[in-house]
Amino acid sequence: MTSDPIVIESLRKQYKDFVAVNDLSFKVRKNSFTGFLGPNGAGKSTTLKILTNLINATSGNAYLNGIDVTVDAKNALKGVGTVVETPEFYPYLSPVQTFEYVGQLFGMSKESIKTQTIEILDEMKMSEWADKKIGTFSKGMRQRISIGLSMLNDPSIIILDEPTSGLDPRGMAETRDILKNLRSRHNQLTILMSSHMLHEVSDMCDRIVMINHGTFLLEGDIDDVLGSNSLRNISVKIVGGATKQDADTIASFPNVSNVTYGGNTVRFGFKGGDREQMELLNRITSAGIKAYSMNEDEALESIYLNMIKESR
Amino acid sequence: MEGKQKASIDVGDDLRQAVIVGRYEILKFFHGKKIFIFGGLILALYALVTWIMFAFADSDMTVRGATQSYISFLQLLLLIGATLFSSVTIVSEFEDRTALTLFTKPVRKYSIVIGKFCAAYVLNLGIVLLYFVLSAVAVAIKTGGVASEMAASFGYCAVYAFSLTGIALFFSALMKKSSSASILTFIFILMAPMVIAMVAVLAMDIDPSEMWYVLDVASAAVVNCFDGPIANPVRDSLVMVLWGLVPAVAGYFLFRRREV
Repeated sequence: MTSDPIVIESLRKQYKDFVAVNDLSFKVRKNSFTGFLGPNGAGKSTTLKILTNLINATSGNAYLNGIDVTVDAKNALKGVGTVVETPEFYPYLSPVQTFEYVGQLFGMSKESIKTQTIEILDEMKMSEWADKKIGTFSKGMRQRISIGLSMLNDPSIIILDEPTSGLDPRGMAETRDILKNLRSRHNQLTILMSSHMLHEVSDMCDRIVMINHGTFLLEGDIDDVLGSNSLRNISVKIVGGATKQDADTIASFPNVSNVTYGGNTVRFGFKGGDREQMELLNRITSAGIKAYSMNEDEALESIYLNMIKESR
Repeated sequence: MEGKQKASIDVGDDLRQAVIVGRYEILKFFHGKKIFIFGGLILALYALVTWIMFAFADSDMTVRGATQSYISFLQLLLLIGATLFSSVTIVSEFEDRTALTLFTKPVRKYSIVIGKFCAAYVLNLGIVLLYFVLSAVAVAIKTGGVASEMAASFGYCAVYAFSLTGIALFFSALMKKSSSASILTFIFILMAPMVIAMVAVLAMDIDPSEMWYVLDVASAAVVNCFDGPIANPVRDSLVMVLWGLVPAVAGYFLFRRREV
């Protein structure tokens, strides 16, 4: 028996002739904050909805703390908090009443529900809204309540399906802050979060699992994944606009590939470390190219795009 | 990981959760408009019958006759109650996306179905009970007595409400929109007995008096019990129970398979 709190084994979900999740297997390490990545339609939400008992798997297993959710969803979900998209609550209930309802379903004592509710609403910065009807809340506030509710039963696992999706920039920032705080305060938690916002994942997560077309692509510590990738996507901005000559000159430099240009920017792939990139910068200026800025695209994005391209 | 595990079921805890789901379901109805619409409708009907009875009825009106004036509307009232409460109970969780909150919690689907079924049933029957009590009071004032058949009539009402709740729950599990579920429930309960009767009479040449298996025929006991003892009360009750149980179980399986 493995101690990994989330284990997906040969999971498959088929809708008539469309396979949303195809023989997917991966594990989520204990106490990790794992980002679950993939483009739209990759099968992330389907996988997480199977894990949270919202849809039924066609075949395969999905274990939460060693209990197969496809067989015994109730017991599998006992130590699990869930935030799937932006869930709705009963609008006539206040956060306190909602926590009472869910706490009672969990079988918590009245005292325990009360104590936890006060603590969580404080942590979510929602204390002053504790007795207001949820129907009057903004989407961002409802999402904070949702994350808080996922903590009510003191879970060991939290599953988040695109928790910032559909929120305005302020709501997104608030939700990210709450998740970071959650992670730092509850270091025994294992969090699995799907997202297609790469900066969000690289900012918050310590591990990633990547899928596409419902199949597994990559799994590992973010640092290891980034370290193993020596291909950088670089863009150079040129005064007066980028020309074919600028692009050809850059293409002639060592370790440069896939050069394109347009507007005032030349884009290309570059294989090498920081020192090699410094030498490239020297070569560009020495060649008389009037470069005024050189940016490296986010490393995770490069890996993501390469992996997605390769898996097509 | 080892092979397929077996689900460990704690029926006591499942029923405890069903009670909680049911309690909050009733709370939901009390925060909505439907209960006031239904309550208002019943009060208006009660006021109308009472006014007619006191203003126009003969002074020697019998207890039974006076009671029947009220009871003759009961089947329709129960149908309206089932349409308003039971037919939306499951579909609204999907439509309002509250399923994302409730269904991801460690609660078995049958606890949710039982809780919601009982809530809609209790509410519908509770309001009708209030109508019964108010009717009995008015009849007692007018005639000086209360019909002894009222208890039996309420008993048949309870069984009929069960069948209506089961049918409504089926459509609630089947349909994507609350409005479609309500309309289908209403039309089905209103039309299905007529269609069955028509087919039986025209195509199969069955005597209408032998169609004991039709819901309307069985549920007529609610009113007919005032005209004398019901010929086969157990059979009529069982027919009503089956009309509720079969669609309720089918609705449960539909709900289990339904995905968010």
